[in-house]
Amino acid sequence: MTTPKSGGWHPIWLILLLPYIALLWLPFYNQAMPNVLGFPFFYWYQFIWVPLTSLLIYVVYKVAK
Amino acid sequence: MNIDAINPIAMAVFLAFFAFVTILGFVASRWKRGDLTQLHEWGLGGRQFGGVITWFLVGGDFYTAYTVIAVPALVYSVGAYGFFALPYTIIVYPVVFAIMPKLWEVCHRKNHITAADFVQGEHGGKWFPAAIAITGIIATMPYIALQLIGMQVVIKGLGVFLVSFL
Repeated sequence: MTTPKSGGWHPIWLILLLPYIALLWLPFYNQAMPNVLGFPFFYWYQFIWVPLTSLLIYVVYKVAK
Repeated sequence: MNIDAINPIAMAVFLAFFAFVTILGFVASRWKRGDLTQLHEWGLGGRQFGGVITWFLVGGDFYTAYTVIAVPALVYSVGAYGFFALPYTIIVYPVVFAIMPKLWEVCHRKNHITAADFVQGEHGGKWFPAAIAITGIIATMPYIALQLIGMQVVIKGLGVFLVSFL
């Protein structure tokens, strides 16, 4: 426990805002290029956020625990 | 029912998994027998589920008829709009991670079983927990209806045409 005071939270939690910013603003990824293996950017960008978000949650879990 | 329309491979896969899951269900019910007169045994598996079983349960929650039938159908019909499902699923997880462990901890400590139990335990009262319980039941109904329609589509996809039950 790195945050002994009640109600306190570790600032590492803020990295969990990244998927919200990255995915909820469509103009960030509403385009076909650059494509990877024929997949338009629109698709692989969203899919890449699946493992990326898992990783961010893992980091918060490890650091804030 | 038109026999010629049945795809034998798809039907074989369907029947094999149906049999497998049915047998697995009977095996599981004998594996760790619980006292089903206890509500927490019946509803929560006696609170014995660890990380691995929970992982499979969450997987089962996600890969439903909605995910494998409705979302692809939406993508086929309207294109990339159907992709709302992907960001939505991704951003649910940080919320779950932030809330659920705390909820679990309180429910485990105070023996709450449902969301309504939790609300009653934390806030007391009679009507507020009742409203939570009723909201939960009503909100689940369209989702169950969606699953039934999804199953109907799956069975039709196998080439079996039955009279619609919905």
